[in-house]
Amino acid sequence: MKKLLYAGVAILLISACSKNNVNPNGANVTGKIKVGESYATGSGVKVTLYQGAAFLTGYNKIYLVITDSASAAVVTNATIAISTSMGMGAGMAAMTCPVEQPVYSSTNELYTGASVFNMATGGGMGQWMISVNVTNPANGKKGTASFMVNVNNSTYNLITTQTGSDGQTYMITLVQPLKPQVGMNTLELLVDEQNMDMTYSPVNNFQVQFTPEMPAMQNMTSSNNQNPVLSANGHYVGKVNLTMTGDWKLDIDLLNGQTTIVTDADIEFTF
Amino acid sequence: MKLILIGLLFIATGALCQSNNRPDTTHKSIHLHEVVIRDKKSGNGLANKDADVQSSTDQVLKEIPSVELIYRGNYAPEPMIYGLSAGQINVTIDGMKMFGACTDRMDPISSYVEPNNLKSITVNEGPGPDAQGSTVGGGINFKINQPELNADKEFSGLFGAGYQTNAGTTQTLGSLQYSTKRFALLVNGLYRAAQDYAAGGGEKILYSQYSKWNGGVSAKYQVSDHSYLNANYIQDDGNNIGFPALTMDVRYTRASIGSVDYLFNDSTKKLFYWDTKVYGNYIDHVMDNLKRPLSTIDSMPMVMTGISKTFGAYTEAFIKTGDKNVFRTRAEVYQNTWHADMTMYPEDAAEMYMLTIPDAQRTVAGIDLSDNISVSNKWNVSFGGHAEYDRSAITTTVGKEQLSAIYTGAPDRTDLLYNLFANTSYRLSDRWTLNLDIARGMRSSTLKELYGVFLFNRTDGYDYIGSPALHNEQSVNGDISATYRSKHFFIAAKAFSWWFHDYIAGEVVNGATPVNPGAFGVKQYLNIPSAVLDGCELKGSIDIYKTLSFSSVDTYTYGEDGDGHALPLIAPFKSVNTLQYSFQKYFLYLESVTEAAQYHVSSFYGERSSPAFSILNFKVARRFAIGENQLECSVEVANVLDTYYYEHLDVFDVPRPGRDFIGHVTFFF
Repeated sequence: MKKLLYAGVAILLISACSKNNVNPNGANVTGKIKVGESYATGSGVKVTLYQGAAFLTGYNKIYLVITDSASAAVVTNATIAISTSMGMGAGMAAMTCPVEQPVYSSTNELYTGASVFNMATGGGMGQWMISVNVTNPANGKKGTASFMVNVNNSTYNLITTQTGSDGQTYMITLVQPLKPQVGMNTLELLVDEQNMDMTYSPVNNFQVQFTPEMPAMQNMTSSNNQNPVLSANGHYVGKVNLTMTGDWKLDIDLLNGQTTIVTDADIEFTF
Repeated sequence: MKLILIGLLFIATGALCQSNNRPDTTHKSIHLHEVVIRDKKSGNGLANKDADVQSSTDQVLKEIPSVELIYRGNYAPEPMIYGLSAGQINVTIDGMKMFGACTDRMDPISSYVEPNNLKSITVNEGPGPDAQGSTVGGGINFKINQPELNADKEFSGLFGAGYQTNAGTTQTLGSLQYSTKRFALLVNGLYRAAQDYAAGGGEKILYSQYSKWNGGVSAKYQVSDHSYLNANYIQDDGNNIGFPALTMDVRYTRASIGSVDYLFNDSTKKLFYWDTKVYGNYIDHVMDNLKRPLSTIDSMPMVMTGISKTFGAYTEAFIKTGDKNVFRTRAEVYQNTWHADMTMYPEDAAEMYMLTIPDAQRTVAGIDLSDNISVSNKWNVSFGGHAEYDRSAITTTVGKEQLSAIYTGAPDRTDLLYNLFANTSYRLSDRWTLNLDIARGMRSSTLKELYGVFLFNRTDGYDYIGSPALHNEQSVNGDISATYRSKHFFIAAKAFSWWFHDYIAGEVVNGATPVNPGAFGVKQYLNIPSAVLDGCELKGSIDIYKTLSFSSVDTYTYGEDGDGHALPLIAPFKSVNTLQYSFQKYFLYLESVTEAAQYHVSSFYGERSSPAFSILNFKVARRFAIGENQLECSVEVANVLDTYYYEHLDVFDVPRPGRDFIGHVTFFF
């Protein structure tokens, strides 16, 4: 059964996907799916990439296990920088998407980061490339491991991009709830702005206001919602009250002080 | 006196008991009204009305002056006592707790029993020994008919048929008793179906149709000289029931009600009556609006289901502690579990589902103690109390999640409740009797009041949400009455008052958005510091001539909360006057029902005033002897003048049926 699952997953995965599913020493990858492994050539470490679930457009956690190429021991204090890009064809600039740099946790010995894929792969598009730049703390040498990954379209619009009143492009992404329940849910939104070089940076100085609505019910809303407030790194956390299952729309405004920057940005999902 | 007809009624204050029936020693108070369903052997009673097997339960309930009915169509009217309803009163079947599954009050417990199942209906006004648990308003108990041991005939019974012209109502029923010395079995069944009825003047009331069948089995086995084993089962299935006053109709409703009890009964012993019962009941109720043109109800297709399960046990004993003293005790436990949900089907969008009663459960353990002292042959005193422990909880994770949509605290709670009551009656002379009652009442909030999630109330057009932190509603009530009775004249006057503390009502939640399409807003149950309910009741009858008598029942109730708002669901002044004539095997009555306009209403409770009306009813019946058997025929004309009217309590001002010719034929063997 487990083999079947892995086989199924493998179809979704890229060529780099290894048949070797043995957990690296110490790291706890229970419940996670191995995407692939690759040597960060020149640094003397191997990078193994895991996902929590198949990548979809939206907010995706990514997990890295760094091991010593020779001893296979888990490397715990490597310096890591990830970046993403998708080639748009000859003569076109590659596009990027917001990423969150992996942070090491000693509980599972994983480096956990995130990527907000804003476009699906396939259908004439290329693949997303996740580049992991590692500095091996043992020898100070750097190397880069790259993974080509597939991303499917999410059924829902979990990302919304809008040009703000200040001319900047902002991207709002639903971090949770990704599996909504009826009743009160923690609402977490990630707000990024696009830089001149087309990369993204988290925005930490906005106020977020939102209204949950059911379009099928003449935009009926709900009570006791709490506007998300900044926790860290562009993440804003509040509460959303989803009174019943069905199609929901979060109507989001971003404000900078008294100035409305983005209005009527919509995130839509169904559960 | 000879048997004259079926369709007789006792309003008894301490009816005589057969040997196997529960003693009424401790509740001779004027509180307790009992309506006995007529059978073959019934004699001519004090009043002659509609308490027969062919009647509907609501027709029988109407014979009790303190009982009013809330109509939402032509089916399952909801009984109330002096303007107190739902969680304010206890409605039980043979002492069994049972709770409706419908969140819109479409299925009061009274809708799951038929007179064909019943021996009698008793009503205890206010907390008292027969109020069946903690309450402020009192209790209504439907006593199931038991088979008779060692009857005159091994096989006996009845079958009957009826037809009503207005809604084309047909009814077929039967009952069969098998009786031996130590074992007896009673089986009964009924089928009734109606089309849409027409109001006075001829307007068809759409979605007022219904059909139902009901069946009951009761078995009695004599274990020893003074002990008996009884088992009862009732199945009641309704289908395609329209509720013109509401936005939904019942697709089907299924109720299964069962009990087994062991009874000890020996009048020579100190412990002369001891009954122990184990019971369970289950209701599956589904309503939808799929037959309604959606434009008329401002909604979208939706289905709402409800499942209510109750099981419990009680033991009740009567002990003679002296020549003049009878002590009664009762202990009971029960648990009710209620699940209700709603699914809406919007066009071009995902279906929407929510729990409306999020898997709520109540577990209760209670004890009753009461004592009756016959101080002298003129003076009787009784007093007692009831205490119970209630635990209310949400039992599932999805239920807790759903409740978080309206409430963020912990939903589970426990309550300790008590009732106290005292009664004294004094016979001034052969003709005059005075009676005084005083009681302290307390009730648990209903599971709907605690945990209901966006339940639409058609009366005021608001979505209601529960409030798990509600205080228990409390009351002090009292009444005083005087009765004069001579051979040909009877009159009883009664005045009563209830003072409420923490009266439970819905109040608008500012800014909250309703869920039901078309709702004006959201109301949440909360406690109103105080409220009062006052009223009086006059009953009288006089024999004008040997065969002709006149009787009158007049009731008036006035309710107001501490903020000056008129309480909801309070009937205005009502007068029922009856002229009845019994001659040989014939019985006739002409009845007028008059209700004043009700202007004492409050928009706070979403009520509108209602106009006065007066209607006339007429009935003639005759009983024929066919050998040892009897045939009973009756013709009734309800609303003789085809008056267009509705009562103040009728939800959404849906008019009542216009003229209706009702024919019943019953054969007793």
